[in-house]
Amino acid sequence: MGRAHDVGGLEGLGARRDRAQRADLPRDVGGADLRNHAFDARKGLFSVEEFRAGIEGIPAIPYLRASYYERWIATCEQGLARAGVLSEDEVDARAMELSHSDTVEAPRRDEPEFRELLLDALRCGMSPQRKTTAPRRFTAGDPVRAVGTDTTEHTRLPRYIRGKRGVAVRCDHAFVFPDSNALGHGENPEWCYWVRFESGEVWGDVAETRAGCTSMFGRATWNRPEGEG
Amino acid sequence: MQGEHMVVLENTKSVHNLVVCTLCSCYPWPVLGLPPSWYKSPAYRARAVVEPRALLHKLGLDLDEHVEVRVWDSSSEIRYLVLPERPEGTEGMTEEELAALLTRDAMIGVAKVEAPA
Repeated sequence: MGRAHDVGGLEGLGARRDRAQRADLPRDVGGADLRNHAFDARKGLFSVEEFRAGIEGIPAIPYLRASYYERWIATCEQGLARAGVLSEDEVDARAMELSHSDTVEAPRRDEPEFRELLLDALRCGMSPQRKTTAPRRFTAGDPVRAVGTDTTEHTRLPRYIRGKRGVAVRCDHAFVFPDSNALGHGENPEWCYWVRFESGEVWGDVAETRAGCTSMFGRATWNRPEGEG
Repeated sequence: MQGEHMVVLENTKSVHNLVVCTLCSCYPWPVLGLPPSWYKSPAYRARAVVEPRALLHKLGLDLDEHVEVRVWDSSSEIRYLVLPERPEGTEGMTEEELAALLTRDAMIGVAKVEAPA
């Protein structure tokens, strides 16, 4: 079952934006501090995959109505509640307090160890690359077909690609498998393949000429050799 | 954190690359900074993969029919950065002068780099 975030190819989602719009900056405390909280992943509270899954699990209408950073707030609340750090009641009480106050002092806490973790993450990154002993399933030039199975569980295989035929282009890395880690089933890294899909294959009669889409839609779990059922 | 694994896509006279993230807002932010709000909008995310030429036309960029358009739908692991085509008339420019011509939009793929007038 596709969810509201899975918008590739959908119509009616609003007019194009003026390209001249300035960068969307997080307002007030919410966005900036919550980005730090997002890296509670470094504290083991919730993973980056769970962070994304929390956003992508927001029901359709609230998802489309929410601003970008409101979605971040929602997933952080969910993740911190699941980790036992905050309860929904505590969040609601705080929101009520904020709504009745003109001036609110954001609490500050000095955590030198966590600050170093964040700085380390900014300098060195938090790569999702992992080792795997599994053999590569496809090589460059192999025809593949994205699995067509619909699912109600979290997946990062976009709806518009499911069931479509493509060609494996290359494979350089094995990464954490988001469909697994987002649900707490472990990282289960898989080889990632660049898979090229031609526009005609994906969009049929409405396809533009000489256009195609490539991306890392190449997890072993997401693809079958063309011809395999 | 995003940006640990970045791929540079070279635009040529026959290939034009365009970057999008249909599922969320994956973007090479360590290099390009925060993504613009239009990049994160459902409208852009929905249309870039299905009608890139029409989308680029609306954004002021028209590509010849012979140019192949490659749309790269970013995954959570990989970030793409477009290397824009070097405009004609810039052959004698230094690296610093060329860098001053670059725009964020050209490195997403919704614009070309223009030579100075």
